[in-house]
Amino acid sequence: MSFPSTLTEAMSPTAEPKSDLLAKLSEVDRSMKVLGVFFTVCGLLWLMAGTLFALVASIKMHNVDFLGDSEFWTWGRVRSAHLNAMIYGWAFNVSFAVAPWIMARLCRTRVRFTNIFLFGGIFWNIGVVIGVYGILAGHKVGVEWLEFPAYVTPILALAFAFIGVWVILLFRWRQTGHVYVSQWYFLAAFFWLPWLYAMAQIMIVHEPARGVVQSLTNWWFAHNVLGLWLTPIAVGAAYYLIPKVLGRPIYSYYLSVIGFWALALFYNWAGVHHLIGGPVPAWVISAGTVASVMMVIPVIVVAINHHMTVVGLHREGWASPTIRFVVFGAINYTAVSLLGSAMALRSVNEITHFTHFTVSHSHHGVYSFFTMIMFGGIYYMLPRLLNREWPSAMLISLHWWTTAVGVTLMVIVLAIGGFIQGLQLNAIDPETETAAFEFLEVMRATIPYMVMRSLTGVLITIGHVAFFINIIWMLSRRAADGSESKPTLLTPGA
Amino acid sequence: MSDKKLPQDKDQYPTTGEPRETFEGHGFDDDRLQRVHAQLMREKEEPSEGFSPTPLFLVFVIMILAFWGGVYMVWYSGEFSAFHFDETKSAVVAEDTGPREVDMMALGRRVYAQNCQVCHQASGEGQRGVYPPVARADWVQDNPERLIKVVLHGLEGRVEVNGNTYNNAMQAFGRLNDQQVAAVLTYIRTDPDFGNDSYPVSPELVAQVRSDFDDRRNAWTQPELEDIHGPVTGDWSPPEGEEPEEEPDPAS
Repeated sequence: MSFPSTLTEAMSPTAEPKSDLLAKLSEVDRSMKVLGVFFTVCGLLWLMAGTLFALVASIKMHNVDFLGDSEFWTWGRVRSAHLNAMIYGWAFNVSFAVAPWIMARLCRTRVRFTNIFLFGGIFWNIGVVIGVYGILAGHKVGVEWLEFPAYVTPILALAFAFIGVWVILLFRWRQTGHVYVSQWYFLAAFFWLPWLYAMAQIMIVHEPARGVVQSLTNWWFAHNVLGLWLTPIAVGAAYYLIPKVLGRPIYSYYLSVIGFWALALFYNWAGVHHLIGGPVPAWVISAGTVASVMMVIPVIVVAINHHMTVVGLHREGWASPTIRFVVFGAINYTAVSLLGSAMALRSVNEITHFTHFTVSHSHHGVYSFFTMIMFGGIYYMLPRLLNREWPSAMLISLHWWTTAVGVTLMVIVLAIGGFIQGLQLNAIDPETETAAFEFLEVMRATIPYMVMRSLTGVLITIGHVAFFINIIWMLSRRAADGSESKPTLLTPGA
Repeated sequence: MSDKKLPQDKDQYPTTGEPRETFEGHGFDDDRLQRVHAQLMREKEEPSEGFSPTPLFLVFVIMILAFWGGVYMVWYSGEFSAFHFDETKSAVVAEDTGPREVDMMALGRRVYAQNCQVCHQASGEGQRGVYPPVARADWVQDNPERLIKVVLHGLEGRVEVNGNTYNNAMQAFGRLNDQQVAAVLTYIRTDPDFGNDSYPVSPELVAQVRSDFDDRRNAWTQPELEDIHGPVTGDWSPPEGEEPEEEPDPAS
């Protein structure tokens, strides 16, 4: 601890000196290298597979005969394969890559027993491969979000148990007194998910609850995967990446506390709003609706916290690939959650339920919010794990523009098409007092929107290919010798 | 939990006793080392938290939302009953509108579909030589008490319907309640699809037949029924005064 070299050190002489901190971080990065790269590559491969399934399913919505001769590629299977490859393949793997790395950095600890995590991860991916194959082969379980055939789910549950235990151990090894907000979110997420998944598997696939309780369990699980797994992972990553890249403290500790506990309190109830109109006791649905609207509290709180941290630093943010993706995701978190709260109201849900509006909403959440933040996380993490720079700023820029524009257009197109669809389905002819439109008429009216959706899907696919090339290119390069130590920025001279 | 606390030895080293590599630590000032860690060297500080107070408007937003949530739960609680699916059902006790009217034709159609259709077919034509018809059948248009007996206790042996002979056994349907038996008989006797131009059967009549033959366990045979009711004629009509005064609208 020599003469203070920065203002922070001068003002707070007992804090860790910067070189000591950097030395620790370099050790953390080195010890997480294998895990981070393994899960990033697995996630990347699943992202490409899921994109392929998505395109096929999307084209089938307007060209029914497309690949119609093969039972493997029927819509009912490809659509489920897309969902499961994206969630259990891409989203879980990328969470396993980014969240534990941030956790380890915040714990300032060199990780140990990484084989436990790697072991769990390898089995997780084997399970997902078998599961997606099982769906395509026609063995799927007819419950949304739990389509994997019953024979693979024990593998997945066990694999996640290893992963979850390891992350909780990692938190136990921390060498810092203060626990940062990202750590709360990650710890909670890795604690919640094994419980959710095991519970849903037992109550739906292995020892099924009967009747209404089964569908309640289904939507309790499906919504909580979003709310108690993907959301805390992405929000936690944003809480780390925004202040880290911009070099400014998070706006308010108090808001972080309110945001975290409001999420933990309310989200668990919200899934019931998927069953509005179903044979579920009215008070259960009312409680779900109230909890969904109460989600406005954590969302506003997180929005204020993130926005007040970024405000005034937009030029720096625009130059950084990480911040571009993360802030786009954070803005969409606010948008998708407020929209979701509105959709949980009975009067709105009567229109949007069973239409493409719901599809728009789920892509808004999982892609515009979660996936975009995770892209940002990978753009920040991989150079540090590999000690290399991103090979091409042009490819990053292409990735950014195609995915940001593509997914925004997709969400808008599906929302408009879905809302019109919902209004037409509900319309009553005042004279005959029967449905004003035939079902087929309503369906034909959605076809132009389906075509547009496929086009936005092609745009997103281009972005994913750019991302894929950039990562493979980076992995196949030699390690840096320091001669190219410039950050990959998207705006020259920033 | 103070962030100012310096890490202590027990935090730095694992308690397992195994040797632990030291941090690169002091060597980090080295030029070459710094070039290898180029990304790290240009990193900003690890994130920390500011302590700005919670904005006042947020407190109001939270309070308004909590108030709205309470009101919503009270209005749409469905009395917190497991059997109320309509959230608009008011929490006050509903007015007693008396016993509910039962649509005998609808009930009869359902009972027929669940119990009779397997043998007598949806058309009521039965199956030639195996199951007698109920559509345009002399038995069905005859004395309802005969039919009630058949339904309650079953029928077996040689049976002649519309001049054709059948020899089979029909099971007893005594587990159906009076209203269900009356409904299904009313349905087959008056529904225009079956072509039987007859009159409805009342639950009271079923109850009476059921109590009169309370101890009967085995199925009826045609001769037994003929001993009580005489041969099947098909244009049987009840004695004066017993026929219902008005024919119900079959479509109702």
